[in-house]
Amino acid sequence: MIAPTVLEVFFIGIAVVLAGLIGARAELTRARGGKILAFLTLFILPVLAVTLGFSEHMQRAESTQFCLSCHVMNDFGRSLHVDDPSYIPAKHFQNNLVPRDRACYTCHTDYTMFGPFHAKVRGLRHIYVQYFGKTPAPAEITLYTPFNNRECLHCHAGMRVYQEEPKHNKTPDMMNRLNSNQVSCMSSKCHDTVHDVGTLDTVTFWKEGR
Amino acid sequence: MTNAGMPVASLERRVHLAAILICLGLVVLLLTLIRVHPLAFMAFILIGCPLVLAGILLFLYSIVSEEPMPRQRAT
Repeated sequence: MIAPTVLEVFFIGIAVVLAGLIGARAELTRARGGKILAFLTLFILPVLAVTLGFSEHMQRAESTQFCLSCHVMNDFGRSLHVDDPSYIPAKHFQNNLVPRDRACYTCHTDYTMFGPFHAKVRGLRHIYVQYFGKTPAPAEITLYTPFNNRECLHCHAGMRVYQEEPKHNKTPDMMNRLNSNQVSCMSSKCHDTVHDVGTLDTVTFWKEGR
Repeated sequence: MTNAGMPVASLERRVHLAAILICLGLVVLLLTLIRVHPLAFMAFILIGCPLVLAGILLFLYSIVSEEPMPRQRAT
């Protein structure tokens, strides 16, 4: 569990206590000081508390724990522990190439101006499908659009191992085609072993700390 | 409170109700921070936020609809 920051909880707690005080002693608002207190307690503090809460929930929505809390995502979580570096998500997760506590979001957000917002909207749709729709089998889950190289290049662009990799320079224009998403990192038979949850019954899993 | 004029009692009743709504909303907000789960987020959005928003709007309505003091004295 990600513990909410103590300051946030303390602040919201203070707002609850003060709102409770005004609720129990509404006659305080007869005096000028009471009116000011009521304005602070019933307007300023709740607005700040909800803003803080919203911000906290938005951060939590980016956590691996949040993404994997739906049953249908279990196999995708397991695929992060496959003992085979050809599984791209597993390699990234196990070697800390992505933050483990934000592993899903790091690769599945769009690195555009409104990318995080779009990712949250997609998340809301997933919640709707999880509880009110027909949940597909894990192996049938596909991306809405093909994975864009932009998401890979957010980290890999400029890396020496990426720039000097012979396969990335197989032809003179290969690097440009990769950088402009004309050749996909994932579906061009180079890094095409991704989550592959349909194969999890036949693989071995990495046991951390062994 | 019963000795006060009707508008004052009405104002206090609305402030009382607004405070209860805001309190409930903030308690829901606190409870949703206990777990990291999509349902906690939905509870925050669908229960906590509307309660707090309703409380704030009721409070703002109560202060803008409060009659001026001279008219209160005249009645």
